[in-house]
Amino acid sequence: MDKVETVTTPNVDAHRRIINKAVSQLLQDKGASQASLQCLETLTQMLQALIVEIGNSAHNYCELSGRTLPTVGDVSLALINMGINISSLEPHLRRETHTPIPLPPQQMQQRQ
Amino acid sequence: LGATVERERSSAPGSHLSDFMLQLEDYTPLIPDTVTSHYLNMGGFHADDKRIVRLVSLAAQKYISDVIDDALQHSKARTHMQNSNTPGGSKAKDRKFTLTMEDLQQALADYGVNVRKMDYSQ
Repeated sequence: MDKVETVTTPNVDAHRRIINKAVSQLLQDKGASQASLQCLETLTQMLQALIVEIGNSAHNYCELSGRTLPTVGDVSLALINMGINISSLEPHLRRETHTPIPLPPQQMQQRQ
Repeated sequence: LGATVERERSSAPGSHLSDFMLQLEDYTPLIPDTVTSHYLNMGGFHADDKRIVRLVSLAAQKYISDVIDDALQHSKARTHMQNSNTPGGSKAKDRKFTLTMEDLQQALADYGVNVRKMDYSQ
């Protein structure tokens, strides 16, 4: 299992690898010390698709009201439309404390 | 508790959100801002405000953690049933959980997501 992972990970793009790390961290925090590779991939794909879809929906709301710069209202409309309760986010923010994932050093060099 | 939440909501939903946005200013979500904004850009969304990106990160993070919670609940229920059927099951094993596709599939079905293994996948 470990061998397969070390071979496949370098081929994935950097952003997806970080998303994968985030999902793994969430799994560990919740007490799932092990997960099948298929589970991890499904959750990674879901997280990626969710962010893209929120972006797409918020962008549409923004353009619908004749603006080019999105506001908080556009994002909250998008979240509500997707069935995500915004008022439940605040307790979640207070409850969960994570150590943020460090960006890979290569990316930092590129940005400078 | 329900009454206070209801009052808070009805009094000023706008101020509630702006307070929340202030909190997001010094909160670092699990997913880095650059990664979230990259995927938001894929959806055609370009935000200058870091707080908006963090709001999306937090919402996505919560969604996934809710899914994981549900899947683990399914897993716990299943292992508990198995252990009760066979008396003398080790208690130390209960602490460690392994997430399998079977539990995740059940949890995602509650969220309206249909996960199906394609015929060509291994």
